[in-house]
Amino acid sequence: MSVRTAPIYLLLAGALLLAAACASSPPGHGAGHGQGGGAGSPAPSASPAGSTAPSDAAKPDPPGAGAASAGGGTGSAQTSGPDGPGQTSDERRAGLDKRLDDSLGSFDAELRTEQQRVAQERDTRRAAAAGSAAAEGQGADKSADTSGSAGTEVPAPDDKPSGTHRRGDASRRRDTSGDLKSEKASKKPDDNAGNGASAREIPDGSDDDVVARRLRQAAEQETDPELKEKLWQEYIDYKRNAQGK
Amino acid sequence: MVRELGENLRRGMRWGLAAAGCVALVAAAGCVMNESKPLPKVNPIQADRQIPQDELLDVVVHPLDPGIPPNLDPKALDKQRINPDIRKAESRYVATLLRSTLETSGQWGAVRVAPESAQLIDVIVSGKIVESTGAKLALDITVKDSTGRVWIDARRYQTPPDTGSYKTDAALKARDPFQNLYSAIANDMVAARDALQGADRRDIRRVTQLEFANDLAPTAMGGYLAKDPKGLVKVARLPATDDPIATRVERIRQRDAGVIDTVNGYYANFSDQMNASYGQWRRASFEEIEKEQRALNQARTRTYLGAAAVLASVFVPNQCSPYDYNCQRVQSAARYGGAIGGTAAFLSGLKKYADAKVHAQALKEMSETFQSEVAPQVIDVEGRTLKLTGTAEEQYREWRKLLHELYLEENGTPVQVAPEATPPVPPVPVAADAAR
Repeated sequence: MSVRTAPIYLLLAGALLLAAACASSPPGHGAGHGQGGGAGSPAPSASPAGSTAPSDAAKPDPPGAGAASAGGGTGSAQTSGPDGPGQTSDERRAGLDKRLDDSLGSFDAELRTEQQRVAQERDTRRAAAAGSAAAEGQGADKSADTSGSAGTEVPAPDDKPSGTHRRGDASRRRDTSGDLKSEKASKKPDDNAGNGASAREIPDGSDDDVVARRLRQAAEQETDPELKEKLWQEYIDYKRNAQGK
Repeated sequence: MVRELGENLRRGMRWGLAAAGCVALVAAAGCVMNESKPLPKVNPIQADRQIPQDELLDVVVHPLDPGIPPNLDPKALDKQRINPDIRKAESRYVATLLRSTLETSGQWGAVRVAPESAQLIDVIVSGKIVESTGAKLALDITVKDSTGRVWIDARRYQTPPDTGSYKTDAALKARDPFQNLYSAIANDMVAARDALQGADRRDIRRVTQLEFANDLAPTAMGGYLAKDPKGLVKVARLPATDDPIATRVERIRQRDAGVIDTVNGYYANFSDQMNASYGQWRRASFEEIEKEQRALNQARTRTYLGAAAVLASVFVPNQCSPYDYNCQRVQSAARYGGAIGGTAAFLSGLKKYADAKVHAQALKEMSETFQSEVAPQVIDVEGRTLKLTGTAEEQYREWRKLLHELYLEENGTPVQVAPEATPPVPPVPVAADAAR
């Protein structure tokens, strides 16, 4: 047994000695907290692939860094990690801070862009709503178009320009209510003919909102005369309420 | 003979009066309507003093649970007047209106609407829509703070609309028909907050701050919080004022507030967009529901009365003696009259049922129209929110990692972190943590 195992023991002892020698030699990388240099000298081994150290940390040390670390005695000032050989802890920290700053900066830029987009959308919608309100207020011929947008594009309840919008609405109501009879009398008498609703005055549908349009459509398409009559009545009531009569 | 005729007439009149009385009672019962009057206005209590900065609590309002019952077919949903897409829109719209009410009261710090994942805020308002039509709004609201203290526990708020708001478009724009409900919630929140000591309010703010720090840099910032016997989170100790990690965390928290602000902007734009058509839909819904109810009540009354009259004319026993022909003639006429009148009333009742059906159909039509209009808007706002919070989530991951490395560096531990060895990241869903 002893003869056979002797080479193994020898090998083992050799390996131990080798390991001890390696351990005592100055580290090329790793935790070098001692005063010894090396921290400031650019090590030939680059930081491990995929290391979390920032790209700045992999740069060669600035001239003063080596001196500072050589003079410093604290471990934290001279730590040389696997990712930043030849860099002081302060440098690595500065690198990490820079990465954080850069990241925050780019995120700020993204956020700002998005916030600007949101603000722009809001402004556009409000401008459109104010424009359509003004157009309606003037009783413009484009009422069909503007009413289409009025259904969805209106200022918020707490919106400042809503006062003007309301005034516009009011005048529009006056205008349209004034127009109704004349339109009925002049050019629209046949509109309701065959609709099953000729007995009453059906308001002009040019300024219908979405709900009114749907009601009108339903009334026009209904074949049951009684139901048709009811739907027309619904439509008229809805229009009357929408116009605040 | 004359006496006998008089007696018959009196008897007939008694019957007639009794029948008329019954008819009047039933009619009265059928005609009783919930008359909608403009309600007295409830406004949020305004702050009458400057609230110290360290007691000014930030509030987040989560979009409400739409309250769509699962496993209900469309017909059943229709019956309950639930339109899923409208409810989804309302869940965000209601949250935005509540936010506006809280903000205008001047009682709070930043008040924002943000997704449910936004949990690290001083005060969190969440809730569920129980019922929402133009004729009624009912919400279950829960309010709690960052220490886990429950201010309002699933309290039911419900109100009919203030019909004054339905009168004109201008009135509708000026004040939401259910503003009273939002004001009531806001006032209850103020009462709950005022019941706390100043130190408690300051603690809430510190706890929020430290919870955020703990979430972002658990290695460095863990251990500052503890739970008291009641299960409330308390500040165990405070980080040093010049703690570099705490300073960095605070910078990140400012970005977090930016994310919430932006998301809040999405919701505000969304509500702005649907505001006008939603108001009109609600007004139309209110009118149709009222008309439907009225028609149903009238239909019920008329059918009951008609049926009762017919039955009475058939089954009321003979009151006349066999040889009293006058009495028999009167009685016979009364029976015919009752039968004809009853049949007419019954038919009229059926017609009223048809009317009610028309109103229900009209409401359904309008709801479908509005639903098709608002559904893409909901998808849009949710898509944008997810996109932004997803981007933010990626950033938070990176920042967590950087903070961890910085912490290790600053504590003399060399960074040994392999790319895979990321710092502990709480297992939050995408866009969950990010929206904080």
